[in-house]
Amino acid sequence: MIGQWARDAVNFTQGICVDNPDKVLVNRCLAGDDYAFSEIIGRYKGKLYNYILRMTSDAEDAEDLTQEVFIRMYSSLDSFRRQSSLNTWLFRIASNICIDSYRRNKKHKAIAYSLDEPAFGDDSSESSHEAPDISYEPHRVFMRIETAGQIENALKKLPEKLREVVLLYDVEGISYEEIAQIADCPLGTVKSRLFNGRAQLRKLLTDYTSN
Amino acid sequence: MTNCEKIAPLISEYVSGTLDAKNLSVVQSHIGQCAECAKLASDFQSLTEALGNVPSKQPSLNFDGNLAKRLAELPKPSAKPHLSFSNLRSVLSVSPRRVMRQTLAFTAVVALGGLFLALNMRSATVDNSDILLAHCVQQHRIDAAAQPLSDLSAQALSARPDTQDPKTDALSDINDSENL
Repeated sequence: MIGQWARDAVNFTQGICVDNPDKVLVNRCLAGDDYAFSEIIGRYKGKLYNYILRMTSDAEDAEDLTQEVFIRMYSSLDSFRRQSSLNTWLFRIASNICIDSYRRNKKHKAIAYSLDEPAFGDDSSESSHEAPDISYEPHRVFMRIETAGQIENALKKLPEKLREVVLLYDVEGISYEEIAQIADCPLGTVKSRLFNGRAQLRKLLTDYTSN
Repeated sequence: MTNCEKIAPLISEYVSGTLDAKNLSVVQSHIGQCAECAKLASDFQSLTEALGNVPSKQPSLNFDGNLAKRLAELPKPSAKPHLSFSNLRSVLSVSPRRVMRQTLAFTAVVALGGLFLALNMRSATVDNSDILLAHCVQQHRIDAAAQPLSDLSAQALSARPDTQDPKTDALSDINDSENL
């Protein structure tokens, strides 16, 4: 019992102290260490959930699909090629799952994002005249949250491929090269999608604020 | 295409800080002269900062429990047959001549093995039955020698009388009535 605790403590310390803890965790997972798998879930569930939530715009679906990412990871861990990082691999699985889900939903219901729908939720009338605020003064915290809501709504209106790249680069901070692997497209396409996504977001937010 | 249209995609990279030195100087010089592109760069800068500060949300408290339930229904990864893509490719790349050679060799080995086993089993059966018969004869001789001559079972059937002695029959009747 004490020996098991000691091993867990050593494994936990290894996972934190090494340069590439993900690599250590994957190796331990492959060796059948369930503790390492739960470590990976703990490290990635928040990031993946937020990404999928913004891709699907449905909290319940997002939770289900995030679980699906870990299930697919668990099932195909032995086929994981170390050419990409665990982060890239997991986001690639998430991206594929989002595409599958989008296609499934598209068959059942026509998703139509209208620019005429209320842009900022129930209290849009109060916030619609606020300029996008990225300042950090404490007295403007409330306004900043409203701006985050505007951005969330604008993101929903972006085409899926543009939204994917904007989320991965500007929200998750993933490099162009990794995004090219995740989205399975050339580097130039990633850059052009990012530019187009930002340009469309800018237009949407300008429209909101000018209204 | 105007100069601004050419520069605009580079402005996105300029904001990301991923432009090379040559394009960086081109963009900087253009922004210094064009108010519209300068505004685009400023807006992109504000947008990327705002996107980086969008508050994150957390999955529900049931997330781990539900995931554990779904995982429990799966087989362990180690229990799966491990067939990597490279293994599969090596299996598929075997030439037909090599397959034929291996098949013939395998068939020959199996045939020789079968023949050897069949011969061994036959000789083993003969030897075993001879030993058993000799053992039975020996046992019979020992038993016959141990039994008294008065015992009818030790005598040959032809030597036994066809009819029993009347006295013996009467005695057996008495015994039977006693038993009743």
